Amino acid sequence: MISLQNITKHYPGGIHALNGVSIDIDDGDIFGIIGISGAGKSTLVRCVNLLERPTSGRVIVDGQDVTDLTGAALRAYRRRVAMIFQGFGLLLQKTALDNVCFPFLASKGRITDDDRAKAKELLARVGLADKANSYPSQLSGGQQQRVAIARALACDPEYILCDEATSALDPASTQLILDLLHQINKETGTTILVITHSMDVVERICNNVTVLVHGRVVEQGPVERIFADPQDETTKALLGRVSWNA
Amino acid sequence: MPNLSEFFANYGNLLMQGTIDTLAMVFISSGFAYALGLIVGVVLYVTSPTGHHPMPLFNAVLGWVVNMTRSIPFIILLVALMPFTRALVHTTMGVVGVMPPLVVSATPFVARMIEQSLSEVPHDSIEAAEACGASIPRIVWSALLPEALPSIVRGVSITLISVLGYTAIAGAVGAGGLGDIAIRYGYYRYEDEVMVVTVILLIVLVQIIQSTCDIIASHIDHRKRMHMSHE
Repeated sequence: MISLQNITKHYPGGIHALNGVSIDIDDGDIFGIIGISGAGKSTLVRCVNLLERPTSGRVIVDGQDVTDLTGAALRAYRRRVAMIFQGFGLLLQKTALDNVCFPFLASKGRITDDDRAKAKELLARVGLADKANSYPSQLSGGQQQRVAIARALACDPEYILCDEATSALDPASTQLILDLLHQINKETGTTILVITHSMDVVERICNNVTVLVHGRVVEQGPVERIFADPQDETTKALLGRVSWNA
Repeated sequence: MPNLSEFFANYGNLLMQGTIDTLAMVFISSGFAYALGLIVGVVLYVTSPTGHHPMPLFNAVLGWVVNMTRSIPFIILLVALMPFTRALVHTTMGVVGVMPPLVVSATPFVARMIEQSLSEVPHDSIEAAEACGASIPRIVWSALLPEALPSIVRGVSITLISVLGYTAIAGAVGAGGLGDIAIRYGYYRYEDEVMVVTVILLIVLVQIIQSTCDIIASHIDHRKRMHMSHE
């Protein structure tokens, strides 16, 4: 379980990205965090794997306070929490296979034949068995994101963080990626945290959702309830029930 | 063309030796400069205020040392370093005698080229490597440098050609090589033919260096779509 406790993040210059955000994400859940641009949702997800350090508040994972981890302990923790990015974050000078093998390199300093075999299985699982030797520039956006998902799965993560993972993709690729994430969650029980500005994405795969506005949680609960009876104006607007100018 | 064969009978060996000396100075000095400059460039990148291991004060001091070394005109550096050069290689003359100042001069240049190449690598890719739990040395070695390699290779041609220019200046104080020949024969003895041939040789060297590096860089660059022949 990931427990974010009263997370704040202030940047130099007085920008307050997060103001006391508390969220509990249960194991095995697909949890959505939704908000418009600038709501602080990307900052929040980056606090989970400590790509950003919260200014205050704690990040508790399975009862362990990880907020102040450094060095080898931090790197070991990050291997439990994989991440998928809007811009895919693939290494452009490496083949799909070598990208998927990168977490092995990061954890052990070398890539064994077993690792390569596992990476090939993962590529097959995301439907890219025949693209192992392709470079990212030879793949479509959807294919690149599938490579990134295979890379995320390499270290058998307990959690997968998706930072606007489908925002750069066309509807067909989006559907494919969401189905894949859903399937991974069902088969392995991996907890998935989905950051998005799209209610459509939330509706399709999330069980629970938090609505973030100006770095604060304004609404939180099961997706059906929030969709059926939105309380906050931003939620209503995100659902298209009211116009933004209202 | 009796004139031409006569010319090469007289000067052929001299020009051949000059070319070999020049190439030796350029490639050996640049090799050392890259060994050192690569380290300095990576350290500059990693310790910058927005780097993976920010050390602002150290970074500022190192940057200042690099800038200072780059500010000194090469001919001044060459003379100023003579005691150091003599202590290191026991001569200040010839091909060997000019290598230490060439290395000292080229290293900060290389460091900035490397730093520049590293900073061109998309932030996304490197952050993803970080999120995979890679250590800083691992990120540098397995992500940053391979991603920056095409750019680094393009930088190599710029460095080699700059160092080639420096060797010509070093010719003025007895370093040997084509620059030395151009000055001794062309400038002091008004033997224009020798000077012209020397300059032509230098132009050819520059073209070869530039073309070779360009070909290598585009061959190892996988960021854009492959040429038809590869697909």
